[in-house]
Amino acid sequence: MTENAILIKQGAEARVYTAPFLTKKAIIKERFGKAYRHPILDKKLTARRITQEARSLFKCYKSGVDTPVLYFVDMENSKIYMEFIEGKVVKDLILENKEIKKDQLAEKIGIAIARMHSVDVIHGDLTTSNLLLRDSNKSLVVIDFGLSYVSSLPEDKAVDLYVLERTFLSTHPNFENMFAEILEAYAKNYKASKEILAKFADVRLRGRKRNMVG
Amino acid sequence: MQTYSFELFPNRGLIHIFLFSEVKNSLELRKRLLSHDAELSYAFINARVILDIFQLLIATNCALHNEKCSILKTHNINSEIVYNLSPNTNINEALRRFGISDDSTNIVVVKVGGEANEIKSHLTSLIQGTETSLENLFKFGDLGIIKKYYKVDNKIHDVKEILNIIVGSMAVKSVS
Ligand SMILES: Nc1ncnc2c1ncn2[C@@H]1O[C@H](COP(=O)(O)OP(=O)(O)O)[C@@H](O)[C@H]1O
Ligand SMILES: [Mg+2]
Repeated sequence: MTENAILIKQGAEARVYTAPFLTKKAIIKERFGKAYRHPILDKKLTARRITQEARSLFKCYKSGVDTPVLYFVDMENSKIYMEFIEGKVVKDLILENKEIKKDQLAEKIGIAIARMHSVDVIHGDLTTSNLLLRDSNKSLVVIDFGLSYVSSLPEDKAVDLYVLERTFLSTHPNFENMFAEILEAYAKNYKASKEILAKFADVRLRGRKRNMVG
Repeated sequence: MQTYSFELFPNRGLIHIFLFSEVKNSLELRKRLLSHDAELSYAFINARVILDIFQLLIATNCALHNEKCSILKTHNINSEIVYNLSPNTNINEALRRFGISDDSTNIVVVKVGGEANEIKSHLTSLIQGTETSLENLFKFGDLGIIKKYYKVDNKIHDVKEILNIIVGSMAVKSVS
């Protein structure tokens, strides 16, 4: 690691640092294993996560979804180097509930997910902690693709949406209408969304039933 | 000339980048490179495929990493820099597209380590051309070729966005 790296988040499976990198300010995401997992399996799993994260970051950027620019993948040390986004986490923006235009934000989120799904990238952890808003041009940035994968199945895309809905229900209970606006923008900007939204209704129903039982 | 230090490889010295225009002896240089002439221990790059210095820094960083981890795909650090500019894993294609060709007139030279003035005088004796400021780099880039080699969608015109795609496609190569 470079000497000037500053730890900004210690998670369960990754440490996130900021550091100067080749004339820019970068984010370094370092993945580490879990002690209870078999070491060989663990190494494989970590490598797969890094591969998925790097590939999805690039694929999304190329497809017009704003994501951090991928700078460098260090597989040998389980690190991804990427652009540092000057911006705010959407979760905090909503929680602070200050001077943000909620309808515009919802539309941006819906469009970003539509673009991501239209190239068959399933994010896998679509929460408001993994969405940033750039300070400079207020562009919506999607981050944290460690659980992402490629799939064209409507069911997989529906589950992605469901994860985001659960986030709104649990973290932003007073902003349920915002999720409805996200869905609306998603539908409007994604031709193939009809089947996905039908699946989404199923997934939701199953979720409710599960909640009533459990 | 411009000089950079690389955060991840503090022991590898400074990295020097030069730009030469109106070069007349590319044919000779290339011949010597092909015969592994030890005097030409530099990465010689065709300026028309370079959009920005950051592109060179990313390729060099990757080459230094591969050297450190003993996973060089080519025979030395210089060819590795040229190879890492390419978004594809085909080595011959990478060297042909990003290295100099017989008729190259604008050349970028990357040197890892060494002392700037010594390198400069050595390069001036090797290359029959004019050393110019790297600020002129963008004048020599061929956007059409660059977009083709890095498979950038024709709809994209923003130079920053093109650079971001170039950098990403170089970085993602190691996991492709
Ligand atoms: N490219 C980035 N630019 C700015 N901040 C970032 C970037 N990537 C991550 N962060 C910050 O670090 C936090 C954790 O990063 P994330 O990739 O979501 O890892 P985790 O798997 O730990 O959730 C984010 O919520 C965000 O605040
Ligand atoms: Mg996260």
